[in-house]
Amino acid sequence: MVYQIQHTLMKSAKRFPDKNAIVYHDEKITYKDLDVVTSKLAVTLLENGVRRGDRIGVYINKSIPAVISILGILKAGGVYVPLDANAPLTRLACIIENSGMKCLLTSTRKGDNVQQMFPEKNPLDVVLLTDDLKRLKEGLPVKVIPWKEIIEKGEVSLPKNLSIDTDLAYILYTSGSTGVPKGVMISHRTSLTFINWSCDEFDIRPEDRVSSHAPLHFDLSIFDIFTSLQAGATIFLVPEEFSIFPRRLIKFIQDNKITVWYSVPSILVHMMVHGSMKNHSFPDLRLILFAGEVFPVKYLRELMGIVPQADYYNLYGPTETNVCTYYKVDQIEPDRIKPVPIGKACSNIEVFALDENNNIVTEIGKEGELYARGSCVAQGYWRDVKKTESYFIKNFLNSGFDEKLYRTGDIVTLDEKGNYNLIGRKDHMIKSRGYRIELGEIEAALYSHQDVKEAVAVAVPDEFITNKIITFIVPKKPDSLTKNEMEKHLSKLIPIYMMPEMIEFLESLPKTSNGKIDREMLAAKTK
Amino acid sequence: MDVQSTIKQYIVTEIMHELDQNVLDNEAALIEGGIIDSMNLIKLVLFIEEKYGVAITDEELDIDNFMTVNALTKFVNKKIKSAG
Repeated sequence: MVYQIQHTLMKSAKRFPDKNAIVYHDEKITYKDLDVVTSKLAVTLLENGVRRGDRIGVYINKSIPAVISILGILKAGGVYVPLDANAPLTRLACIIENSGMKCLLTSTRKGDNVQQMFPEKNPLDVVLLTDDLKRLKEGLPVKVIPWKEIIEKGEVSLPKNLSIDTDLAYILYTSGSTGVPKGVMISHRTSLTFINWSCDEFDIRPEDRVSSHAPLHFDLSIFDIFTSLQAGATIFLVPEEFSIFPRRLIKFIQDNKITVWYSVPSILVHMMVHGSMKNHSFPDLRLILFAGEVFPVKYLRELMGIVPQADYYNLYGPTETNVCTYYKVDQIEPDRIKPVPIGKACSNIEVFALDENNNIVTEIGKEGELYARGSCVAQGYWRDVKKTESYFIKNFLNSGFDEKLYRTGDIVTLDEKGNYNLIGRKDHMIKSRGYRIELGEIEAALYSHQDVKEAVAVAVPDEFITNKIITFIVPKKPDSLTKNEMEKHLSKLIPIYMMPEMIEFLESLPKTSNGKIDREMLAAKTK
Repeated sequence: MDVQSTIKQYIVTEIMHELDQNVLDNEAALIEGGIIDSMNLIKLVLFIEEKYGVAITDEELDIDNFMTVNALTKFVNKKIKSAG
């Protein structure tokens, strides 16, 4: 029975042992081999002290070993914590420490960074290397296990896994307003709610060839990996080095006869604008799913003309709810400029909007904040009771029942067909290129520079990437800071997608009548 | 400044946000190393097009030409030569 997400693999390995599970460049692995090697890894982890509920890091560029790592951790009863392989080391160190992980799976090349992350005391006990090289350049004072030792293990039998569906499956770290990333805790049950729904709703079949474009620390990857495994489909990992070249992506879709594509809209726009997608044909594509940001309508309309036979769905949901609403895009009215709706709730989920008086919005066009309840909702933020309590609130509409509501912070309206439409954010969290960014995290990074007196980050809407980030800084002494110095400082603290598009220095920041920084005036200044 | 130094300076200061040119090796993996993402790629292309008066086609927007500083230099020099 499938009640944990790794069971999707075990079930399909029995049904389709010789079918390819994952393809990456010229490398392939069948369902049977994937099942065997992930069990070997799980046994190795257990032999090295991993226990139910332990957090284990995956710090590897996207590859077959990266997916093996995730599945091996789950089979051992562990919780996987995917790390952005290209993030600044200080941010990664922060996540490693916050999660309390003792064990990390990494490649030899990336493993050398671990020593740099923790120059004094290293919190890790065991590092498993997912390639054949035996040692790290910098000797880490931990036990290092090379890949060869794992894959050359004889036949193993997986001991009975005592974990249950309410145990955590993974923790995904997202931008946090105080400068420390927040770890969103997702249980097997929560994740399976989405996996089962998406597999049924989109009728994912064994013959499907599903692309995997999103990085593994991004929740879009749950569909790519686990919904595909559930269906017995084949996953085609988009090599990271191709993922930004539009022509390569177009060729990737064509050569691999991809039938299902799932990504943020901006990468599809990138293919249309910089890859002349319209001059190519994609006869195999049957389903295009997009999520993470608003798809500019004129490009969505263009895409629907380029790939006319495909079905299109807009999926919506913060990491805390995986996906909670969806909308099938049948046709777009020629005069529509507004983005397509985020639609209605998925199975096993209820969503509703509350107005400022906490009444459920039923009136068409009236704004309210979107709330979600049901098994799609995450368990909360790892080791952060305060933040958990402020976003995962007790359902005050049904007092007497012990259940949680997730407050999304997204402002929505209802349309005449009962679909929700996204209007904007209630707080300072924004989306850029599909990534969610707390402007507060950028501000915290700016303030951490000793010469910064005041700083603010604002978002300016942008056609291609949803929002551009602009920062304004007041230095302690006039002319004591340069743009370059600030950029260098930021690049050590925040990932590349959070870097501001523009840095401007001011003598003071404009304030509103109640003394707050006037963000609207600053945003207007950049137009 | 020659093509190589110009391109390198642009990548180091505008994309990597560093001051010291030595942080970037001419053979360092720009794409696989996560130095250049899709936004930066377009920024870099616009810079080269404007600086050298060349037009980079969709076909040329490819990993082979953008893999390293050396590969990019070779590609841009070829473009300049065929444009001139």
